[in-house]
Parts: sequence; C-alpha cells; structure tokens
Amino acid sequence: MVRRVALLPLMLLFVAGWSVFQSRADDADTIAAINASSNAPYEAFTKKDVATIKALMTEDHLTVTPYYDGPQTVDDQLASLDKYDWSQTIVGEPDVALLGPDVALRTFTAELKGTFQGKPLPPRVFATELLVKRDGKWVERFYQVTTLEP
Amino acid sequence: MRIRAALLSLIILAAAGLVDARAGEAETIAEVNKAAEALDQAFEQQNVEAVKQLMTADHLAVTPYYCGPQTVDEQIASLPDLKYAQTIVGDVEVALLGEDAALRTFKAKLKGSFKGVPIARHAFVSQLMVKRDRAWVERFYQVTATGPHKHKGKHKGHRGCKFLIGTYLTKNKPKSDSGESFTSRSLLSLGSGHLMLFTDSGESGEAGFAPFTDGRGSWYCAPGDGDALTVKGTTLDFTAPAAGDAKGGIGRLDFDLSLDGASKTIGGTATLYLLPLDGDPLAEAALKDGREFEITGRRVGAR
Repeated sequence: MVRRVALLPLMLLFVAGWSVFQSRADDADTIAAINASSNAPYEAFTKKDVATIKALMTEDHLTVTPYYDGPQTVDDQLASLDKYDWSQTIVGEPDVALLGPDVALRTFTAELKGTFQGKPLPPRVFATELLVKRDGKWVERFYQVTTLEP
Repeated sequence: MRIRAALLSLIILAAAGLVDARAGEAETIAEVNKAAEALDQAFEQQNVEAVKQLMTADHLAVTPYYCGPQTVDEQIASLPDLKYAQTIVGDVEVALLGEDAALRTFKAKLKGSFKGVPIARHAFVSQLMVKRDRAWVERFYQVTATGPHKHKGKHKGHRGCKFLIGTYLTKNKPKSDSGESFTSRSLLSLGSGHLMLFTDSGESGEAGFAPFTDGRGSWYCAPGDGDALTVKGTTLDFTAPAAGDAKGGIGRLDFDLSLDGASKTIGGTATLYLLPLDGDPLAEAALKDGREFEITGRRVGAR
C-alpha cells in the first residue's frame, strides 16, 4: 500500500513531464511550419510569382517599409513587383513567438541588397512578420520593416 | 409552415448572434485602444511602473532611433534619453487576431529626440497587443520612418502630375469683374518637391495694393473631372509697410486650379488673404475676408 501511494506522485510527475515535453515538441513543429511558410513569400517575391504571393498572404495583408510610399495592400505590392530588384540575407536565426493557437510573431534582422524604384534599399533592417493560421495553413497577415543603423 | 417558422427563428437567432459578436468586438477594440493609449501616456510621462505594467516581460521595441531591438529594461533605462510626443494622423486600425491578440496600427507625427538626435517626424507605428490575466498589454512595438503622410486621394496613382511641373504665364482679375481687362499678370511655377513660386506684375504696388514680394509655397495635384488634374497650392509673401504702418504684412494666396494637359492651359481661382506681420498665415482660423481672383494661363514652353 505504501508502495502504491509512493508510486502515485511519481506517475503524476511523469505525466506532467511528458505533457510538457509533448507541448514543446508540438511548439517546435509549429515553429518549423511557420518558418517554412515564412520563407516561401520571400522566394515568391524574388521570383515575382503572383499566384504564390497571393496564396501566402491574407487578403487584408498590409506591408510597411521605409522604401514603400506608405502602407501597401496585396494589390499595391503586386503592382510594384517590377520596381523591385533585391535580395535578403537573414542575420542569425529568426525568432518565432507563438501568441495563441493561430497567431505567431516572427522577427529577424536582415541585410538587404538591391533597389526599389531605382533607389537603394537600406542595408540593415529589422523585419516583423505577423502570421495567422487560416484553414490549417500559416499565412502572413502583416509585414513591417524598420531601418537599423549599419 | 412550421419549417418556415423554424427557418425564420434560425435566421433571427443568427442575426442576433452577429449583432452580439460585433458589439463584443467593439468592446474589445475599445479595451485595446485604452490600454495602448495608457502606455503611450506612460512613456510620455516617463512613468516606469506604468510602463512595466502595460507591457509583457518579453516585450520588444524596434524603432529607427533605438540602436536595435530593445527589451523592457533597455527601454526603461533609456527613458531619460527619450524626449517624445506623438500625434496620431488619421484613423487607428485595430485588427483582432483571435481572442487574445490584436494588431493596432496608425500613422503618426513624432516630435522629439533620442539621445539628443531628432527622431523621424513621420512614422508608421504598429503595436501587437495580447491579453494576459484579462488585461490587454503590449507584446511588441515597431516604428518605421516614412515619408510625409499624404492627403487622401492626392499624388498616388496620378502619374500625370509630374508633367504639370513647369512655369505658367497667367492673367488675373477680380472674380466679381465680368470684363475682359485684367488686374495683373503672373508667373506661376510648379516645381519638383511640391515647390510653388509666384511672381506678379503688380509687386511694385498698384491701386488698392501695397508693394509685395514674390511668393513661395507648395502645391499638390489630385484627379479632377475625367482626365483633368487639379492643383491646389498655397504661397506666402510679404507686403511692404503702408503709410503709418511700420511693420508691413504677410499675404497668403490659395490656388485652386485645373489643368488641361492637351492644351497646356490653366484656369481657376486664387484667394488672397492679408494678415499683420505677426499673424499666423498657416492657421486656417486666421483666414478671413479673402479676395478672389480668376486666373487663366498657359504653360511657358522652351524653344
């Protein structure tokens, strides 16, 4: 009997530990899915792949950067695709914070090369992607870039 | 009949649910705005306790004036270096992202400095708010420096505006005068960077007007009827002291013109306001008793 009572807390600890482990594993899977989904728009933008860009952003998506002329809708961005000539290198690892089951914040520092409308892009920026889960898929809802001192 | 009644009941219930949901959303948005405004105020008042309470412990702030992303402690440590006032321009948008997260965005005019260096005047601000222990707090804050905020409907998408740049020779007459004779002629220049210049043949003085200087100001372009473009502009000039007036005055001309690109002609109205030299010609309230002039002209071409 004493043995059985002593085993109960151990079992509870094991269950608690397992659920934390499981939850961390689930978070890691979610973060991996977000990172995979977040890299896709960049590739689609560099390839000027309109259909993929549209599929990876929400309809009410907004982009704010120091080089655009104010906040841009999806259509605004698609209309200016030809004015873009750029490449981006992420510095370090992006941070992903899960803010709920269907909302995530992904941030990173990046080095930009290239031009927009013939003007050079800022060489070093901080970028934020706000992602939401829609129909089981992570898509971008908001993107903001801030110039950092080189 | 029963089926119809049941369907009607379902529709009414669904509509009622929708109304409730919208009312709930409006309440949530009001709570988000209240929390965000309290945080802005805490920063302006440099109230450390309130700043801490209204942000999550893992909060990050990214602005063009900070040296990289800042934690809560870093922001608090640099509070004495931040001299800052914010005026929101236009509407604040709040998008609810599920039950416990909201994105609040707006354009703002900033005034102040960080470590003595002036901060960007025009900015786009985003605040990511999350609900923790039933209270909305800020999780992330980001500022992007932008160009000056454009007035709605101006500039954007009107590629023809840049072709308006140039100088126009005009004839001006009081609007009440139906005759063909004109009071003066002017050279009106629409420059790049929205610079507007005005020179008038009557600057050395004429009946009813003291001598005055050239005018300088700014203009913008907007779509008019059909393919036409309209130009609105304002120039300021100085008026020489009249007899018995030691200081002279300041003049403001508001132009409301339409341009025909094909014929390269210009037409519309200029309204003249005269103020004392210490008046504020940029305050709309100070603009009284304007005198209207009709303007017609054409573009000066080069050979």
